[in-house]
Amino acid sequence: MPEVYKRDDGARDMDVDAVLRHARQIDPGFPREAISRYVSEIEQMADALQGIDPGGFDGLSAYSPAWETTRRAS
Amino acid sequence: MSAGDPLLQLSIREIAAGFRQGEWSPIDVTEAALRRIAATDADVHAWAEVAEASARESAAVAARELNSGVDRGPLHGMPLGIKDIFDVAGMPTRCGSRALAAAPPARQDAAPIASLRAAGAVVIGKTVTQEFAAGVISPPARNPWDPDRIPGGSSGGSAAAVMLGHCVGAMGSDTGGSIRIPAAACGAVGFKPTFGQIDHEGVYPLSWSLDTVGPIARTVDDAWLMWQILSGVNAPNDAPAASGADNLRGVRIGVARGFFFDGVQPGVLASVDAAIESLRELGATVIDAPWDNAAAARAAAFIINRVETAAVHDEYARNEPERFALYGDDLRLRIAAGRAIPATLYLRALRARAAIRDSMSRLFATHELGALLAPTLPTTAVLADELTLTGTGRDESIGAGWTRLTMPYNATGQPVLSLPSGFDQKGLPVGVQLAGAPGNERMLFRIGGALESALGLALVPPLAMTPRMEATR
Repeated sequence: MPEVYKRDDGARDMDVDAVLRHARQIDPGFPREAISRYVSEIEQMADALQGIDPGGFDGLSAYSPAWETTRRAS
Repeated sequence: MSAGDPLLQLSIREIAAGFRQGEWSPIDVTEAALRRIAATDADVHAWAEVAEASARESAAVAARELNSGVDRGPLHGMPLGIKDIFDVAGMPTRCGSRALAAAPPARQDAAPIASLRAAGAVVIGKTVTQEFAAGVISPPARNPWDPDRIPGGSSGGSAAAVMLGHCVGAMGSDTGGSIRIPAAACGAVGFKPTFGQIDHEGVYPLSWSLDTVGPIARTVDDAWLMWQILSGVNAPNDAPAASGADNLRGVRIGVARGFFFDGVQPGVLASVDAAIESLRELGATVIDAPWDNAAAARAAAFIINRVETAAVHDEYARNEPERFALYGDDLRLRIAAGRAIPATLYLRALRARAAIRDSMSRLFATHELGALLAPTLPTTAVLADELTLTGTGRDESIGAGWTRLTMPYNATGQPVLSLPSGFDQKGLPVGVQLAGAPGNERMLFRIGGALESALGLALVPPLAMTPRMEATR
């Protein structure tokens, strides 16, 4: 697995060249600009997650105790 | 009534009543559906495969049962379309991909299809999906309101087929909006159930932490009846979508201003605002309820989606290059880039999801909401040969733009009902989505039904009015 970070302080600034090398293991024909666009999208999403205090590891469930309050209210 | 097949413009309850009163039979309705497919599918390409023989056989069985007093409920004898990522016994599941062109017939029905068949539904065939349900364009399917435009996706064939009377309802899947997006673009009703509520064994996965399956229909009540069967809540006499004057008094509806109303075409905003006014006139208390975590919710869903999609297709990508080469370019790129997303980012998104979900439930509790309202899509249907979004003030791909307002709710996992709110200046349908609390789906259908009745939209595309053709294909 190639290193895809340029920095080690989180999932930002992915290295497009590293991702491209990784992708070209699957298909040597992948164009750099397309990979660059995907990396840019992923970085934007990573940025949008900054500041969210992780809530734990029950993210697979749509249910939470807080919904019980909601159901009573509605 | 249309010049096409009036029978297929009726609601499920109306058709069902006609069965029991001897006005028509499941055979009549299935034959009418097959005639509509023959008359208009060449314009919209909604179907991957039509199972005429088995549909006729199922319809005959349904008719015999009703005649002999066996009544399986409101879906008995109803012709349905099934998105081609669901296994249907005896039919291949090709997922809209050349890579699965030689797929063998499925040995058994996917769990939701088994539920529908047990309720007496007739499977008409498999509807067109975007390749492996990963995208919003659904080629070669086209929009029933304007065949030069896309139907949305990934359940595009299902929405187009429903609106043209090819079936009375259809199954879709929603991982980032794939039920709600085509429903909005085609003027249909789409319901994304609560994550985890409906068993989807036998449905090809896109992203297992986000995948849901649900109905696309012409009316809110039709979607309610399908959802009841799929979820196992079987109370056919319960009709929350039946409207009456002032019947939303005491219901509090939040309007998710901010994220969900920025970067939206003016024609879409005008239609959604008119729907909000109708809700007020129905007696609902409508309040502004912006949700600060919407952008983060979209981001979490996006990252989870991309990584899990790459994992689902990893075997083909790594070990079957000849098969993987048959995937479309966009999906191959998406999988390749998804494989390179760091595990730490994926895990951060999963953990953030719990916090995001809890912030949504607090929003509902704080404002005592029955539903949270927003546009479903930022634009109406775009031209198939341009695929660009205009009028939003943003430079974004259609894939990013058309999932921008739907994906946040895949992160929270809550149920969401999308229904038509009107038309833009080009005469293309606009959709509004109502997000609710898990376990209180009934409230969404109540609000949606009241809004649908109050708006009284004429939702029959001109293409559905083409003259009847006697021959089936």
